[in-house]
Amino acid sequence: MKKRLISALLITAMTAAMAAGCGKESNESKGSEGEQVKIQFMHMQVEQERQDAVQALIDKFQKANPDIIVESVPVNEDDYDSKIATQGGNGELAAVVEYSQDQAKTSVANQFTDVDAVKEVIDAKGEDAFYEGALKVTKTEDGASYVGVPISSWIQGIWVNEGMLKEKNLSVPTTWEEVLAVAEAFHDPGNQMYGIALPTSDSAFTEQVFSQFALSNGANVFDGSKGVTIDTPEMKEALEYYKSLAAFSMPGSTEVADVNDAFVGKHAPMAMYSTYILGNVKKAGFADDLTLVLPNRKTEAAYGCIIVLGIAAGMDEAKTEAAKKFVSFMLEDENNVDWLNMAPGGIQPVIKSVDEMPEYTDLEERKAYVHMTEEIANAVANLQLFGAVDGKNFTEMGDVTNTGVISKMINNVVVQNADAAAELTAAQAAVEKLMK
Amino acid sequence: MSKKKKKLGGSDTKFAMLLLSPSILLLALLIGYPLIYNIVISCQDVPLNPNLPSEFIGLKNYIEVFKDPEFYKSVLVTLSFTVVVTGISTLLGLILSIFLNRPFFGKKLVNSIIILSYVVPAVCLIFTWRYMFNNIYGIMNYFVIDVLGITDKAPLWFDQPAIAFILVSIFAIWKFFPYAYLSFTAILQSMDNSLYEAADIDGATSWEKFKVITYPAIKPTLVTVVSLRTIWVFYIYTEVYLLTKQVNVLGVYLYDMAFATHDFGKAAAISIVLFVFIFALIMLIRKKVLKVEED
Repeated sequence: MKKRLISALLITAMTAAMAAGCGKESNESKGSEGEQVKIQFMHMQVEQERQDAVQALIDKFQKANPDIIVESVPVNEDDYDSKIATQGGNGELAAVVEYSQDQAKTSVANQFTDVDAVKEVIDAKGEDAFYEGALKVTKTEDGASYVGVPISSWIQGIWVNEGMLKEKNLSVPTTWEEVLAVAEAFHDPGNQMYGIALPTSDSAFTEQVFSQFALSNGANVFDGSKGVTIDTPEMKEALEYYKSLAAFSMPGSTEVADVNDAFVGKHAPMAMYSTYILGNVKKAGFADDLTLVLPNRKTEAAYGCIIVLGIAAGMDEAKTEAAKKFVSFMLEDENNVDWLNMAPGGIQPVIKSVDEMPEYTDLEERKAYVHMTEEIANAVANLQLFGAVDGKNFTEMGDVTNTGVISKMINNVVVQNADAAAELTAAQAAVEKLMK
Repeated sequence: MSKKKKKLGGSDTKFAMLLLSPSILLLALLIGYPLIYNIVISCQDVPLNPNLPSEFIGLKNYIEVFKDPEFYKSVLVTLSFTVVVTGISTLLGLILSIFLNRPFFGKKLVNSIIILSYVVPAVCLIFTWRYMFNNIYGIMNYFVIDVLGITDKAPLWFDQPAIAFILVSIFAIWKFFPYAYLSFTAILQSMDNSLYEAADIDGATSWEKFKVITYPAIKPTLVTVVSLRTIWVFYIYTEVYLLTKQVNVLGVYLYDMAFATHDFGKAAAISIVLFVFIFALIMLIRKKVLKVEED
């Protein structure tokens, strides 16, 4: 009897312990600590020195706002989309989230972002404080608000090693045909030399690079009335050109690291890459030889990403106010410079006044690229994106990118030698199905 | 007397149920609830945002899954992959465990080398393989072109579906065979050696010794190894997804559905279909083996 009693007590204790484990988190861990409000800031800055820079900004903010605690949540870029989906799907998205414009569009489409709070922060700073291009591509579809608060940007184009071109008496190419001719002149795979370093894997990077050629030829994924326009002669021409150019690139499905390594290691005189390549080129010692050009057919087209901070929807007022304060703090010139200085040259300002601050312009690591300021500014001026057409910014483009329809099409044509016309028809049908 | 026994039995059953109740509750929470929730959302159009209402759509998700040709392609690839990997990794583990089940110099070192691929984190092995088979600077290109001279142009290893399937299968076999090896070695080491000595005296061949002594002893372990490995390989995701985009197994198909298209309802429907399928398959394997055992 005694044994049974002990057993019964043990069972009760175990069950109670399990039930306690299943309980909700306490308010303290979830939200406030006494009078303090606790919020999370999810971002993609996983490298240690960048984490330190983010933490320094948070410490500075907390010192000025002792009633707010900000927890830094760095998440690897590869896991970022699934993290947003799972956290958002559980109603536990961080109060402030760093997004690319595509991710921000998806979040707004799923009502994860408090667009009113975002608008209030931008209005408080003043729309005039931002570069026009940064605000243009981050507008919501109805144009009433923004998908996030722009904080920085990066630009992508064709990086050319002018020094290598001079050795062959070639001039910097400016058109599709000239780019192809230079690539052909250098291509010698037997000696590990390639004409151009291009991405061809089934990845978002490939879609981004291809979009520049398509947009420079007047092809876009949507028309002004959101009709799908993938299967068009302009897109086909761009796809076939991309295939012919990729013939002078490295074999197989190439990714970010392959493109970076080939260009920085001088195995290719040209590469399609973002401004993040600048740091590596400086380390490799040929920053002075660097030039940036844009794919140019009917028009010049740069790809770029406006990095925005989103404020999560559905939070209580105290947390929303704390998030707004933190995002506003990140827009203050001296704090924004600290953010930009995490990756000198890689990320560019979106706030006009920051461009002239000595803390930004006089940074030693940035001086090597001063000769490119005009080229980068030209790229920002020619920023074009799939899904942004006739002043409208369709949020569905985020879904199209996430499904990988475009990048699969490119990989199939370029690497798997599939028929371009058939792939365009299949991609058109896939996106039309997605839109339904 | 019998009445008293019955009473005691009834009381014991109740007490046994009481003792089991925490485990049953735990199982209900950890397995029952997610399973039922999965069935519920498989009949819904589920928005990503939990604050938005889900729409009941009946069996539409299931119908769409069964109408999708990619699903059938994926099932075929997964079945082939499961048969190849489970079959060869189990066989390899069994052969090695029998072959090495004897004392010899350096046995511990050999054992350590064998289980290395199983204990090293998958991500380290995956990236090593990706470097080995890199189209530009992979060491396999050097072997194929410069050392063996088989071809003057290396194949695009992980870019060609057939080659990618073979490479991923080899990778999985290499990664998973130590599990079978360890399981069989544990049984073989616990066996009485006098059985083999008696068989030797009777003049039994190696095959006869395996058939009459070894196989009956390892059969329960064999069923467990095959069942577990079938389940694990059938749902494989990480190894395949990180190595190549050309082998679209069901785990990858499911992931794309859930996280690329954010169609959680359809992803849930696929997982229910797979659950039923794999459950039936495992039951069939066990039934067949047990039937043979009874015969």
